[in-house]
Amino acid sequence: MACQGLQKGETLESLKRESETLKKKLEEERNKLNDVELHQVAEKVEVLSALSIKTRRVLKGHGNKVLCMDWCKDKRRMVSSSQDGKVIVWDAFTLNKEHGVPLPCTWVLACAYAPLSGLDNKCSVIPLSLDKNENLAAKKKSVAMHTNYVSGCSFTNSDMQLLTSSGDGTCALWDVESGQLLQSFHGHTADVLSLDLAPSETGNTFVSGGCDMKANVWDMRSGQNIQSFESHESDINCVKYYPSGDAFASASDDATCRFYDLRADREVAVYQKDSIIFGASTCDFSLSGRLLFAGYNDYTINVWDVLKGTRATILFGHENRVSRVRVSPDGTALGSASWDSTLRVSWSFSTGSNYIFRFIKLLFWVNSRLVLEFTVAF
Amino acid sequence: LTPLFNVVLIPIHKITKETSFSPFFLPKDIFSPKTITNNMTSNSNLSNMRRLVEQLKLEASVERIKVSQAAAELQQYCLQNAGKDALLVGVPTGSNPFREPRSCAIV
Repeated sequence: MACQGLQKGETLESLKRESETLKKKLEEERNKLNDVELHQVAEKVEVLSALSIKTRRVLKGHGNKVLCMDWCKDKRRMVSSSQDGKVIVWDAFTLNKEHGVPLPCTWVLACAYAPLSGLDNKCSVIPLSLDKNENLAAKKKSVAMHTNYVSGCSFTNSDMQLLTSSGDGTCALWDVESGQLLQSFHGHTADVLSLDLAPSETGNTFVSGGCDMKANVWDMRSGQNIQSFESHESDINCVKYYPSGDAFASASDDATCRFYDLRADREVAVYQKDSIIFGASTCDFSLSGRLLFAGYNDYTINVWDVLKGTRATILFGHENRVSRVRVSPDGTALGSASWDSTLRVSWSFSTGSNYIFRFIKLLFWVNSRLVLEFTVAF
Repeated sequence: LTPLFNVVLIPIHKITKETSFSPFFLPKDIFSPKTITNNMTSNSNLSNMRRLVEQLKLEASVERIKVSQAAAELQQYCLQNAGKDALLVGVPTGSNPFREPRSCAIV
């Protein structure tokens, strides 16, 4: 970009002043439309009945911290990457491991169903096939190259393009076949840690969050930064779109998750509690968007009621930091990956049948106690 | 892969293998400074500021709707889809949601 000389009357000082006034004006415009809080609008909504989401499966097999996981579109398979340098594809029903791919890089930070990115600054696409004899690692193709580590990646809806975010502060769009850079996105002033594509119905945008505490919304075609949100007080570790595409949530090291509406152009909710002091590293919405699952560095997953702003339940079980939570594509289960080298799959049983189940269990217990009493008596 | 990364990767590998309870550093803490420093030349400072001003003008011109309307629509989406949300309503007790063919959908 050619550096232009000073325009008439324009100095660094005058530009700084102009940017300050513009920032104030932006705040004023946003505040004008802030006529009510989200939780106030949601007061009339029924309070959630007690959720019975519990961990039902534990997947063991990685030798070290699991850094990332994702679900396959067939709603049954999961892929996970770990610091032990392996990527494993699991079948969530049988708990079998279907593929295990060793990688040359021990820090595999992100995997979406197929692309893998990590600390060698490259993002590789590994085609998976059913032939177990094939040397899958040899078929690996390098697609993206950044000047710093690649923190996140996502296939676009057409599957022919790959979007990556990097520690070099940029995001980039690549063509998978040729490996060519199609578009780059500049605007973050520090590492970009996470990105998420808008759900297909709403068009060609994506949101990214980074160490500069900002969440930016981008137009994929023009490379333009269309909206920017700066209300977090520390690094944003994860961003995720609301299922309708009109809003997104972010999880941050400042121990809060925040909810931003894109059409109102502001933050509309903060999910925090005085008792939560550890940073949140990951978040995902349930199918309807009513629940926000967030994984924290205190080994728990807090489940937030998105509309009311309260915590619905906590999932315990992991024995180290939760690095990734992902809801399965049809919304039936929650997968979580952790530094304790396991993955856990959790789902909910409907509460009506829960009571019957518990009642039957109680009957058996009473019966067995009576039998015991009688035998002891005799 | 530049020599710089080769040198840094190996010691970290050693640390994590031997001392599993030591504080673990994420790539963002190690591999780059938190902020990308701009060139110190006045010309590029000026062009950066100009770019910032243009960006702010763009952001200020975005069309916005009232929070009350946005919130109402978010709420409506939630309630419309709540019935299909298996994590909210649950699957039949004792069943495995991954089994195929699937049982009847919960209405």
